[in-house]
Amino acid sequence: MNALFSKGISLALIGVGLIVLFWNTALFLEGFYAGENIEINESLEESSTATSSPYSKIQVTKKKLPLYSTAPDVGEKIGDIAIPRLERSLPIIEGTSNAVLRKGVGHFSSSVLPGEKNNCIISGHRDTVFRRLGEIKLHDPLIVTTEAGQFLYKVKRIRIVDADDSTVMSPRPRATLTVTTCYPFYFLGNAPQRYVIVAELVKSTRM
Amino acid sequence: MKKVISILLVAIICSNVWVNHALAAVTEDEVATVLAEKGLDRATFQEKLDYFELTLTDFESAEDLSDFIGTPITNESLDEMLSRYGMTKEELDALLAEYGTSVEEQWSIEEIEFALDFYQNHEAEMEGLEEFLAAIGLTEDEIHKLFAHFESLDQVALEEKMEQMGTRLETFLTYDPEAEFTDAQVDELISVWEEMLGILHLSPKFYLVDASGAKTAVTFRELTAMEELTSDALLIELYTSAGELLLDMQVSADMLTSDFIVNAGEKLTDIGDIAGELTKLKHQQMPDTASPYGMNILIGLLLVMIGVTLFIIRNRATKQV
Repeated sequence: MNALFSKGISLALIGVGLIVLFWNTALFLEGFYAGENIEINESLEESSTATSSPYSKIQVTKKKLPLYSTAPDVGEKIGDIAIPRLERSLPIIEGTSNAVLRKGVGHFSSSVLPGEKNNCIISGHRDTVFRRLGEIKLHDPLIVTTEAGQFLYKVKRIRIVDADDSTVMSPRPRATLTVTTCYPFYFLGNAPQRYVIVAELVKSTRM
Repeated sequence: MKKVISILLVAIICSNVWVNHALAAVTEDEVATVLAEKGLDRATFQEKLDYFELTLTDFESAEDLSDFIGTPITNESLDEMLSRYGMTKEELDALLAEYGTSVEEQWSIEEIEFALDFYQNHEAEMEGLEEFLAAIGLTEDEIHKLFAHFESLDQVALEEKMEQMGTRLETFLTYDPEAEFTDAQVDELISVWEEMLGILHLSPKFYLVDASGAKTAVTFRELTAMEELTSDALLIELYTSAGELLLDMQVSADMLTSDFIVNAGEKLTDIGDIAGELTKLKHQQMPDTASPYGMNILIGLLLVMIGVTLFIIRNRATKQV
């Protein structure tokens, strides 16, 4: 009886262990393979006819219409972020819950949407979608495409801050894209810090 | 017909080329002159051009180029700017740091000024708002609930409508507080008030509170009709239109002049604006982006190993018996 009991426990442990193992591997892989490799093309820079730069006179003729008519629902895909340096394109999904972050890059719901004036904040897991974020350098382009258009941001600042640093979320005078992930970039353990990339809108093409 | 179209096409293309040519009026000489004037080296200028994805053809004239470059940041130009703002370098650094930026990442003095104006203005707006809320006895928790409610509203429509309400209220701001409201003015005030509440999806309840603490329900129209508050204080309970209690606040009799109500309305329109643009990012944390998968995979592996070990030990033990 004792033997049977003990055998049962060990089999149960193996069973539960395997479920935990496979389940988490599946969740991890979902994020790991989110997004796709992209080829860097120059087509972005060619489409200068309909673009507006905050520094050129074209801005004056910019449409005053709001970029987005409705706010996206949590869990809804709002666009893609292409990172030429990493040759990757990642989906951006509304919200920053665990369920969202599992699938891609999450858009912090109470920040503005891509392309809008003020601070647009997106976050992703350090070990899945943003595992190579540390390779991005100053003045690198980040291209966000949403239903409203295509927005070219340039990295203006890279910094490492504490998790509760409120300066990351503060309002911005210009359209800004703030990309955050956990730091240090270890696979295991909690993260007391955040790796923050601040990029400024340089050019936008309205759809 | 074909001929006409092709002639038209040629004409259009030619006119475009001509326009483009006319736009690209910045010559290398002009660039050199502007750079010398500004004391900016060619490499930094090229870096800035590349950053903004611009080429010399994007500039119409030397002035245009000059505007783009602005005033380069040097010790002298920075000192000059600081004296205009009556700030020290430390104060500037502290203010910029509070918003997660720095002098180093700005391209020109004009850019610093742009950021400075924005942040100073934001700071003043926040202070004014906080003072007002504290004066009517609102707690931080209640303010949070209120902001959460504002955030749930359609911001674009909200700001538009609140602006209209603001202009309607302006006529009351110039009103002499000693004079009586006319019936028409009272009606207008009440309709503005009700429309505003509708836009904000709020529904308040008013109670008169006397010294013993007894509450008597009263309508907004009755309130405006009162010469002065007949009891010691006014209790306001604010509900969402869905009936959820957001906050309650109590204002004393001496705070309640007709002035105060008008000012409250004016502040409320500000809140709509601020909630839409700025404050929504306050008091929030960056999401935790350390995924639990790695640790969980390890835990799973560990469980399997313990199970296997136990199984083997057990098997051996039973065989030996």
